[in-house]
Amino acid sequence: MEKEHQSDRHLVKSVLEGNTSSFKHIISNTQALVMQIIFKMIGNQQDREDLIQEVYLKVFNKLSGFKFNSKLSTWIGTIAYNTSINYLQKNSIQTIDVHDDDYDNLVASIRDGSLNIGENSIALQILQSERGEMLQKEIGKLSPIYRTIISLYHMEELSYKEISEITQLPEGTLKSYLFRARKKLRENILINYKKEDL
Amino acid sequence: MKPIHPDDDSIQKYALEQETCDKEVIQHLSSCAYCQEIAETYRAMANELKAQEKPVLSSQLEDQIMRRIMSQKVQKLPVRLYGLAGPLFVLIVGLASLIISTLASGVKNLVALEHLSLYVIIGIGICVTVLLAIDIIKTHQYHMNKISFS
Repeated sequence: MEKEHQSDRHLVKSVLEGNTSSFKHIISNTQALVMQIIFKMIGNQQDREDLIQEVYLKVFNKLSGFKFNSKLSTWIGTIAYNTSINYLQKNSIQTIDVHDDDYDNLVASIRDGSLNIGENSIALQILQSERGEMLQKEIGKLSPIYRTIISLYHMEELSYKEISEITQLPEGTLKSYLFRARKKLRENILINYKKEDL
Repeated sequence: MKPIHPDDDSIQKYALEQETCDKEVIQHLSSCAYCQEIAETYRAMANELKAQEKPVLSSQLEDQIMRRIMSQKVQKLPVRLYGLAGPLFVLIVGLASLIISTLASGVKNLVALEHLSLYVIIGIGICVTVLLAIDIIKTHQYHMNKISFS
């Protein structure tokens, strides 16, 4: 962690001293995180590319204001997240599902035990066989915030604290969103399995 | 009688963060095939998510970003010179008053006692400007040192 902070300081100082090429290192260190956020929040490919550029230009212009209160990557992640949220709000795209009938019905069926054990086995089989493609498809059906939180936690392996800093969501809310997102993802796999009658 | 299963959050905790899971839930899951199946799907899902390919920035897009950044004015930590505006204003007003007064009463009276107040104002203006300039430069250096790794 301390090593990471020193490397952050070195890079930021270098860029602020006018060595713009050091910014390339900042991009390569953070591109996976930035792309994970933008790709999960934004559906349109052209807009994604524009937003990635916008994020890094903002980072460059605001770099002197970075106070080292967090990791540089977390700060850049916050900029990427806020830029995406602004884009979604500007385009009137809902960032989170408030209500979902299919989901609520499934939750009810699990609570009352009417969803039998066989269906869980099927979900397990799908996850073990169809793998990536199916999962990608189902993740794509979640709301942007759920997609992002799941990706940051499971793919980027960030801690609750880091995701909380990026999304500015309290840790309790974040955990509840993550639990709900995973639950919904699993339920979606079950629903679609039934729909497609595999 | 229907068995009472733990809620989904507890099963997720059992599957993915067992250290935070309640003892009762662990106990229940150790003997409940139904909940075990659910927990197993969560584990499989987490493993699959972890194994997903991460998006990579294309070199074309990276070059585009770097070109836009290079074309911008090289950004450096700003020296906050606006702090000098106040004392510089006092200095300019003092000097202007002195010039006007000298023009009106002649160069011979330049050191006259009546100009003493103007000299005091100009003197204070110079002192405050110099002190503020030193302070601004030192603050700038401090900020640069703060981000420097030692």
